[in-house]
Amino acid sequence: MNTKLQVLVIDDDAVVGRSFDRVLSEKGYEVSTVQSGEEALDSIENTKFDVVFTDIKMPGMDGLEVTERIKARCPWTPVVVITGFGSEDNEARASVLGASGFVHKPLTPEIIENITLKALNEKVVAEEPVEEVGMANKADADTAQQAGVLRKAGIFAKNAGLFFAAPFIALAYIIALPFVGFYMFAKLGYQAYNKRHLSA
Amino acid sequence: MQTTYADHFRHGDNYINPLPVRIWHWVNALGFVLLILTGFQLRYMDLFRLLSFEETVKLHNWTGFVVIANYFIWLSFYLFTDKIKVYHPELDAKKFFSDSFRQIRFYSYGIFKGESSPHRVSPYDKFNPMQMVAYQVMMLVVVPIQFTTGIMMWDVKRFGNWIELMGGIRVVDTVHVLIFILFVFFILVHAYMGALGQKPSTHFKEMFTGYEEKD
Amino acid sequence: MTLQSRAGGITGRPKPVSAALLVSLVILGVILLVSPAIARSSSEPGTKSDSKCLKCHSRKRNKTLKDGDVLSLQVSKTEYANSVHGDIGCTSCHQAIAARKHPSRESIASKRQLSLTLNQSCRKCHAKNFKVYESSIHASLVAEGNLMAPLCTDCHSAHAIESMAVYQPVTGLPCKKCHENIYEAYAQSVHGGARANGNVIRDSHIQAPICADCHQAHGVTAVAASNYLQSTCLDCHPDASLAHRQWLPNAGLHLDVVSCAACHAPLAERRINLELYDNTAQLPVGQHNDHAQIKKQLHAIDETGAGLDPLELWNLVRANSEDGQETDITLRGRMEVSTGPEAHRLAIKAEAVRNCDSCHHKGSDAFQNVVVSITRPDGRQISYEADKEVLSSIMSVASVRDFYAPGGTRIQLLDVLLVLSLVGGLAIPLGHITVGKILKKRTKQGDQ
Repeated sequence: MNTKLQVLVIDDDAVVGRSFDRVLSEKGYEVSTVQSGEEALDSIENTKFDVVFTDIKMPGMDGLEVTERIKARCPWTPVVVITGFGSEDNEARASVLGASGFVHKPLTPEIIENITLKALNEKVVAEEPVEEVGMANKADADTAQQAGVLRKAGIFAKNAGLFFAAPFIALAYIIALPFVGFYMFAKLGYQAYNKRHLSA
Repeated sequence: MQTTYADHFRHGDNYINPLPVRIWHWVNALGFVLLILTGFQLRYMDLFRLLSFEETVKLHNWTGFVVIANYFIWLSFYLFTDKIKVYHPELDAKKFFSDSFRQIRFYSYGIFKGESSPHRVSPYDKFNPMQMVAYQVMMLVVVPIQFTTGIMMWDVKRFGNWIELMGGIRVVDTVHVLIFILFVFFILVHAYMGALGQKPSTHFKEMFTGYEEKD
Repeated sequence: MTLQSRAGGITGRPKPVSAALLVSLVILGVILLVSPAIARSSSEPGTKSDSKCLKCHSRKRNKTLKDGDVLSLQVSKTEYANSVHGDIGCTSCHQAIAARKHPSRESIASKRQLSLTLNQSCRKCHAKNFKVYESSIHASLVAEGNLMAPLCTDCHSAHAIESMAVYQPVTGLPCKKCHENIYEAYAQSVHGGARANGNVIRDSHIQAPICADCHQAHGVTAVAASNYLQSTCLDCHPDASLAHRQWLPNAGLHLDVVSCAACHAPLAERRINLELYDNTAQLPVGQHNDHAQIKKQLHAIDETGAGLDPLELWNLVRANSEDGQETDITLRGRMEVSTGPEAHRLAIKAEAVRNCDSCHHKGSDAFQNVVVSITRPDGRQISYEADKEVLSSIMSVASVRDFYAPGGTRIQLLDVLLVLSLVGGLAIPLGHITVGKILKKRTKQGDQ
C-alpha cells in the first residue's frame, strides 16, 4: 500500500502538471497528472487522493463540473481550483460546488507547496491541527505516512461520531418539527392577514 | 468488463445503492416480513393457527438471528466506507426544516401536480430530510432496541439481570411489542412510499440494480 | 401390562447366594438364639414392670374425661409386645406414672390434651426426628391449636408402633387418614399405579414414590414453600431438566415458573399464583412482615370484595413498596394446579402437556384463575382471589412486571394500538391515492 500523500493535478496544459510533480515529489508526495476531467474521474475511481488541483478552463468537462463530481464521489477530498484569470464569478461558483481553495497562475514552487499544505491542513483541521501542521512542514515520507494514518483515524472518528449522534439530532428534529411547522403556519397567516389589512 | 464511476456518469445513471446495501435491504425486508408474520402468530394464537406455537417460536428466533447478523453487514458497510455521509445529520437546522416542509408539501400536493421531488438523489445524499431522520432513528435506535429485547426474551434466564435492569420481563416484552406495532405501520407506509418514484417501479428498480434511472 | 410383568420379572428373579452370605446368615442365627432380648418372638412384653402394668391395662377399663369423652385404658398385650417399642417398658414413655401415685384421681382434660403431653416423651429418644417434626407444617398447625393436626401417635399409633415402611405403601396410611382425596388422586397417578404394582425404576431397586418420598416424613412442608417439591421430582428424574432443554424454548424459565404438575397432570385445572415478593430482601413478603396485617390490607384494598382488579393489585404492590421505602416489591408469578388432589394426578410422560399452544394463547384455561398470595413463615400461603384481567391490563407492566407468557397474557391496550397501526398503515396509502385521484379529476375539469 502506498503511504505517500496522493496529489492529483488536472490541467490540459501538461506543463502545469509537470511543475507540480517537480515541486511536490521532492517533498514526499506522490503526484498524478491528467489532462482532462474524464481522465480525472477515472483516476479517482482507482486511487484515493488527498488533494486535487484542477484547472477551470479545459476542453470537454470544465473544472467546475470536475469539482462537483469529485466532491460528490469523495466529499472529504479537498479540491483546489487553479485559475488563470481569477474571475470573481468563477471563484464563487467553485466555492458553492465545494472547492476548498483557489490558486492563481502564475505559480511558483513556494505557492504550490503552501497551497498544498493549506489544503491538507484544512482537511484535518477538525482533528489535530497543530500536530498536523508540524508534521506536514517537515514533509518527509515518514511523517507523511504518520500523518496519513492519523488523518484516516481522525476521519473515521469524525464520521462515526456524526453517525451515532445522528439519531439523537434526528429525534430532536422530529419532536421540533410540528412546533416549527405550527410556527411557520402562524407566521404565514399573520403575514397574509397584515397584507390584506394593509391593502384594505 | 469493469465499469467505472465515470462510466456511470457518462451513461447518465446515478449509482445509489451499492451491492452490500442491496443485499442487506432485501434480506432485511424478507426477515422483517417473516418476523412480523410470526410475531402475529405468536401473539394471536387464539385467532388463527397457521403454525404451532412451538414451530413459530423457532422460526421467529432463527429469523431474528439472521436479521441481526444482517444488520452488521449494513453497519460495517456504512462505518467503513465514506458512504456513511448518507446517515450523517443535517447540522443546519434551518435547512432541515425548510427542506422538510418542501418535502411535505411535495408529498401532499406537488406530487399530484406532476412535480418532481425537491430532493435530488445522489450517492452521498440519498435521503430526503424526512427519510433521513426516520432512517437514522430506525436503524440506530429502534432496530437495536428490538434486537436487544428479542435476544433477552430468547433466553430469559441467561439475561435475567439485564431484564431486571430494564424493569422486568413484561416491560421488555411491552417494548418489543410496541416496536413491532411501529414496524407494522412502517413496512406498510414504506412499501407505499417506495412506489412514489417517478414511475411506481423507479425506487424498486433502484434497490435491485443499484442505479437510479434518469429520464 | 408389559411394564408390570417385566418389572415383576426383575424383582422375582432368584439371585445366586454366595458362600459369604451363607456364613454370615449362620452367625446371625446363632446371635439371635443366644440373645433373648433380640430373639423375643413371644407376645410377652420385655420388662417385669410391664407385666405389672398390663395386669390391669390389658383388661377393659375406661376413664371419663373432663370434656365428657371416654378414654379407653386398655392396651393390647400382643400389639404392644410386637411393636418396635415392645421391650422398652411402659414407663419409658409414661414417665409421670412412675413418679406419682397410680392410679391417680387426677382428671384429664381431653384425649388431645393427654396426647399433647405424652407427645413430648418421644423427643427423649427421637430427638432428631422430633426436631424435624417441629419445623413441619403439621407441628405448626398443632401450635396454632388445630385439633386435627397430627401428633406423633396420630401417625405412628400409641402402642402398636411399627416402622412406617411396613404399612404405608399399601394402604396409604397414615397420610390417607386426613388427606384421603389426595391419596385417591395419588393412587390413580402414574406413581401410585407403579407402586401398587411393585414396579421399580429402571434397573434399580428404587420403587415409585409414596407420600413421604416427596413430602418428607417428619419435616413435611407446605407445598408452596420454595422449589422444594420440584427438586424432589428432579431427584428421581435427573434427566428431566436436560430433556426439557432439548425441545422447550426457555426451558430453565419454564422449570422455574411452571410447576411440574401443571403439565404432567394434564387433566388438572391450572391457575396463576402471584406471590407478593420482596426483591430487596429476596424473601416472600409475609415471611418477615406481619402476614396477618397484609391480609387485612388485602381486604381493605379490595373494595368490591370481588377479587383484586388491576388497579387494586397495583395499589397493593405500591402500598407495600412505600412501607419499606427502599424495598422493591414485586409479584412473582407461577403456574400451578388449582387444588392439592389434582397436583397428585400425575400422568405418564406421553400424556403430559407437550403442546405450547395450550397455555400460549389468549383464553387458555391456565390464565382464567389468578390468586395473589402471601407466604407465611411456615411456608403456607394465604391466597386471595384476583381478577384475571390483572394479567392483561396495561397496569400489569408495573404490577406483574415479572410474569408474562407470550400469547397468553397479552396486554389488551397493545392490541388496540396494533389495530390502529394496521388501519393507519393502510389508510395513509389509500388516502394518498384517493386525494391524488380527486385532484386529478379537478384539474381535468378545470382544464375543460
